[in-house]
Amino acid sequence: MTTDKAASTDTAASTDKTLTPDKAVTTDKTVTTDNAASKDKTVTGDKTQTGDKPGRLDVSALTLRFGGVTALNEVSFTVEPGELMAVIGPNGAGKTSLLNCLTGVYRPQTGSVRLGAVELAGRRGRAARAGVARTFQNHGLFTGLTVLDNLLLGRHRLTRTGIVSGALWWGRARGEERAEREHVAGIAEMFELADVLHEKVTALPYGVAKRVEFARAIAMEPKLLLLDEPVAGMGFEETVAMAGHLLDVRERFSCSVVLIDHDMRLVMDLADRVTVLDFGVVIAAGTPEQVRTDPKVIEAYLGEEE
Amino acid sequence: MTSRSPLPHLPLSRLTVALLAAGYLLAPWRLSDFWLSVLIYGGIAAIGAVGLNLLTGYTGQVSLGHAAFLGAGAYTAGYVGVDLGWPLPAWLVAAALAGGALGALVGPAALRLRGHYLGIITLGLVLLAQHIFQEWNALTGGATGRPTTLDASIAGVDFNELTVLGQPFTREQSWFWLVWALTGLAALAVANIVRTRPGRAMQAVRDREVAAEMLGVSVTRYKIGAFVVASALAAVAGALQAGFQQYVSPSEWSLLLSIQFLAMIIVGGLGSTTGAVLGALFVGALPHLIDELSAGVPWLAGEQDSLISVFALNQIVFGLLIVLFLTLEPHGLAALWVRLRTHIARTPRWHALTRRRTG
Amino acid sequence: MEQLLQLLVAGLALGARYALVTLGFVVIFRATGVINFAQGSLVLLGAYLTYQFAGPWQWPFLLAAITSVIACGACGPVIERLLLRRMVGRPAFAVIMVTLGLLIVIEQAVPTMWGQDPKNMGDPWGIDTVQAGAVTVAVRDLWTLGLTALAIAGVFGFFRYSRYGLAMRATALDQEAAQAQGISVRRVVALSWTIAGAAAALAGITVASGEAGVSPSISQIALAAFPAAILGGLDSPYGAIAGGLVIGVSQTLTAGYQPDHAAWLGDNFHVIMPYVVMIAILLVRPYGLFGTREVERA
Repeated sequence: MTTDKAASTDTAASTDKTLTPDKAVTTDKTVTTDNAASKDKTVTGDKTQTGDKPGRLDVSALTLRFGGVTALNEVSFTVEPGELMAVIGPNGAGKTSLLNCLTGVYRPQTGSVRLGAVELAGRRGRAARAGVARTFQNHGLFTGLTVLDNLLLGRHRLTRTGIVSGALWWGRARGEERAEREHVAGIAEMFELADVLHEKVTALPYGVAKRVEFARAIAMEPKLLLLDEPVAGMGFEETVAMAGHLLDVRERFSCSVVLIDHDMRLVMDLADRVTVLDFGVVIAAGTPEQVRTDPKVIEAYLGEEE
Repeated sequence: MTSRSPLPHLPLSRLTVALLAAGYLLAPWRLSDFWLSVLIYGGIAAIGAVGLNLLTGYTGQVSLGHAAFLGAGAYTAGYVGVDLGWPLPAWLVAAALAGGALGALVGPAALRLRGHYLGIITLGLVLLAQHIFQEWNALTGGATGRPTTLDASIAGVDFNELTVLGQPFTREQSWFWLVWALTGLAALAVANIVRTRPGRAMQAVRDREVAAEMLGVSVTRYKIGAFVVASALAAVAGALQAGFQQYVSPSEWSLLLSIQFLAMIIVGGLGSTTGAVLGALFVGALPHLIDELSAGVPWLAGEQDSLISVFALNQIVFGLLIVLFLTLEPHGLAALWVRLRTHIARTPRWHALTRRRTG
Repeated sequence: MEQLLQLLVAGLALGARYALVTLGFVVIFRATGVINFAQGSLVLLGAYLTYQFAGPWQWPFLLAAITSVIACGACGPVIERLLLRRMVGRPAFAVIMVTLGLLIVIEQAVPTMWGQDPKNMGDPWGIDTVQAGAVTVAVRDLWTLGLTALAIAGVFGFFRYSRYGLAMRATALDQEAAQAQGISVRRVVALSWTIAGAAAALAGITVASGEAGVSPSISQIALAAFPAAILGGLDSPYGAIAGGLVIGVSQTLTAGYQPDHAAWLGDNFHVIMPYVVMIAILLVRPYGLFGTREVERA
């Protein structure tokens, strides 16, 4: 598995925050958007030549059923390295189910999710190892722990101390702990969390908790960041601040982002491309401008207003 | 500022450590052999309790099976220390290894079963283990038990007949030093796990399993790891108990013992290593305290016409403590202690007192 | 062959008693998601109350039995109200421990009140046996089977046909939705505890009125009823019955055959047989024979 090795060396390289080679590709935003209505997926030029492109998320023909309910139906899209893809749709469109499929929490009946050469569908621990970080709708923080501990858990995959060396507080454990604490303090600084570093997360206001979770995802140094409604329930100012953080992160870490949101406003300003889901089906895909004027999208959202 | 401190500190101040060290050194000179033995059993229980606390308090896995691992440790020590005649380090390590291996065998159950189901499975483990202890005559001596007069010497120092600079010490005095040194080491090791990467991962698994997996935390590794550490420590506790008692029988490793260990970490405060030690001391000393107190009460004295036997009273107080702590003070003695301390610190008189002293 | 039939009948009678205790577990678990480890203490209480009424107080046995069933039925909701309601939202472990704590208290309080030595309740069912072909059946076992069947039929009928039964099933499916439908979840929970308490008392009476007599050790029956509940699936009343019977029969068969055919397993292996069966089944089906998958995730 040479590709697996490539992925792991890539991870090692990204630890010291050098820009990954993927960065160069981000300027290439002319990639054709898949017409999701047609089931035979248009294959982009790249793919035929190089097979699995490192860092590209390739979701194809994903179908997820719960009993008789089809939550996702033949959903396909790709996210190029460094790209920000927004997935929007009315409530119950299947957005969170999609994230759960991308991270192996749900096992789809058919279809595949590939990040580079790694298959993510149906394999729980694999997403993190492949360099995927995600946030949850009602935040997935560990409530019994402090902000600092939550951020340090973001570093879990990038650190090594095991049970024995931890217990002995010997060798690697001590040095790693010190280095990671400093590193994480820097991240906290970046997200304006330095003041609450030693607070239990249960004590935090909702907006701050969302920010902690975002910071924790960034601490993972992901290649692909999956955000589930990062500004849901936030006021205007907090939303703007969060958008600022997101822009900042993209600039610094050059990761690809899949941003799920119910609300179109934030998405239209930030996204390179948008995929619209309704009742588990992709009803539109394209640039924000294209999607905004798509009659099907308007209809789906209008239907919801009533 | 604490927020600048780069390394996590143990929750003990230097003063506390100094006081503990002084207590450790001096207690054997000040206390009677009876109270020393109470403390020895307390220390042995504390080793098991800090392990169970890692599993239940920090990793969130219910286990009613702790007694089985204590028993396994006791018989391993009996075999290695008596039948093979090897010295203290050998039977301690052998017990830890045996306990850890058994934990690795049972741990995977936690991957498939949660909460109540795991509770009942581990309950079954205790009953199964007790049956095996009763039937495996060659190792355990059957239902009547076996002697465990273990060789308690390490590097030429024999804790059964300790003599330092010509001064002989009683067995209780020497075992106090031995047991509490090991208790300190066990508590330190668990506290170290908790404040570093593996401990954080365990707590993440406890709080939100899926979110933990999304960070790359291997639920399998940490659940089983917690089981292994907890059962290894339980086995060490069992080995020490066997060594100090010099005789063990299968009825000791009962469901009640498991419940007592759970009570220790509840009374002490779940998810606090200090609490687990305090809880072990408290639960261990409780019967003796009740004994002492009830000696003066005529209808309790354990005579024929007494209203209630001391054993029954013990059990009832013990059961009530579990119920009351859980319903009224879920964070246990550790929380009570913190509250008491802040209360004292806020009391103006105490404030004035300390200022006068320092000023 | 005769021995086999004999053991099967005895096993069914034993299993019926387990089923009563197990039914209590399931009813409470469905309503609240809690396993009541203190169920065994209600078995004990039911037996001793009946003894007190029928023995020292000289009541007719039937009246004594009915009164203690009612009394234990009343104890259930009291326990729920005083202790378990405070534990809502706490981890499974903490809830288990509260019921275990209660078990310890009642298990010691009962012999403190009545003494450690076994009491004799007399032979309310008579000590007759009935000959059916080559099989001898104790009348007591027939009573046990009959009463259990009656009680279980009663509970199932209640589930199916009464307004509260419907409310209980709705609550078991989805507590929030049930509440939205105007069902008083509190009342449903109280009712579950009542049924569990009454069933436990009945189990206690059937055990204690037999050859074993009334002794503090009869709360042990609950230890074998746990695996029965797990075996059937904690949320399935049918599973409770099936699990109870399977455990009962496997226990008497073990007691009958194991000493001759698998002596190496040791004396009294039948005592832990329920757990061996449970572990074997759980390895294959982690949510029991009749349980739903969700339970595993709870």
